[in-house]
Amino acid sequence: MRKVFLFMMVTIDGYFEGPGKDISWHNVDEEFNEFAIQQLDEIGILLFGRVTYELMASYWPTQSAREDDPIVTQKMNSIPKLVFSTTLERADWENSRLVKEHVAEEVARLKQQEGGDLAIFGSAVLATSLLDAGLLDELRLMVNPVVLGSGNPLFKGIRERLNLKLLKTREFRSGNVLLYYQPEK
Amino acid sequence: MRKVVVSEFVTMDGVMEDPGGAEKFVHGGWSMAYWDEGIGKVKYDELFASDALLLGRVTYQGFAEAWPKATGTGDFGERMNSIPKYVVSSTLTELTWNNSRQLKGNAAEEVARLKQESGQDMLVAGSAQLVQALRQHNLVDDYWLLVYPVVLGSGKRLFQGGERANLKLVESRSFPSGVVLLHYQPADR
Repeated sequence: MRKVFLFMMVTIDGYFEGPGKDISWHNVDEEFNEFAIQQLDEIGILLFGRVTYELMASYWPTQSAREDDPIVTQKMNSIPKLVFSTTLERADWENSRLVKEHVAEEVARLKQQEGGDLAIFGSAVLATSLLDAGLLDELRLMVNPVVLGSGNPLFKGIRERLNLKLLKTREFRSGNVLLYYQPEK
Repeated sequence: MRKVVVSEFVTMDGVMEDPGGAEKFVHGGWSMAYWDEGIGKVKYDELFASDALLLGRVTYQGFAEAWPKATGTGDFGERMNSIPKYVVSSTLTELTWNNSRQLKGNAAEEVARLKQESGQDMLVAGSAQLVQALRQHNLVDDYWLLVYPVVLGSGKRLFQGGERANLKLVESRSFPSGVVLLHYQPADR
């Protein structure tokens, strides 16, 4: 059975975005890009909520993205994508499918299929709902060496305390620390 | 010059409130189930590298309530109870814990002055508001964060309301219980 994992850039103070959806603090370098490429190669389908989908759809197809990192850009654009939204009319980013309802059922069904893992990149709301539904298998939090002071906290809206098991950690030269966790059943 | 070392227990979602349970927060005591020898050694070494505690009122009151009564805490507990404690508060009226001094005036100035003295580190635990003030005045030398494998969803957050800042990672380490130690310094040091 495929795995669903969440990959998220977070700050030391537990925010995944600053006020006004600020992600300018993301600490990205060559080593990060190599990691991103390896991670993308393991993934079968990217899962998105509306907000992150729209943000990414406005960036990855651009010339600027292609110039910044052609390999990551090509992979992000071509990889199969699912966006879960009741309000979006269309999903126009390359290789995207829109799912308007029965999110948990759809994800559970996809997990039963063969193929690469299902990954959520940054969609906090979607991640929280899959977590609540018991469908999230792994969390990869990349702690950036930055303090924001305010913003959107990780898993805002979680209904009860969540205990996790640390699987492993990896330090990057940039000062980022990647923490791998599994929710405790 | 003495160093100010900020040492905090935090959850994955950045909550720092009441890890030990002394403050009666609804999720209080969230760190207790993850104690192991490795973490014990980190806290021990940290305390013995310090010859003073620097605390805000709420943390001070929680500690002052718990530490004098604690049993079986060996020389760690003895040191907690005996070393000088500086509590930053303009409203506290009673200092119930042994060897306490109140800093009532301009905290930043008083701490800056204490840093000029010779001695070991001044250890800050908890004390969310005090950490903010110290950070604002560039008085913190090291941050030692123990990140627990727990998401609470509510509670006082570390660094809340402060300014954005880049820090420099000095070291990361993990423990069998799933706790991760992250040691940072301000980026400009």
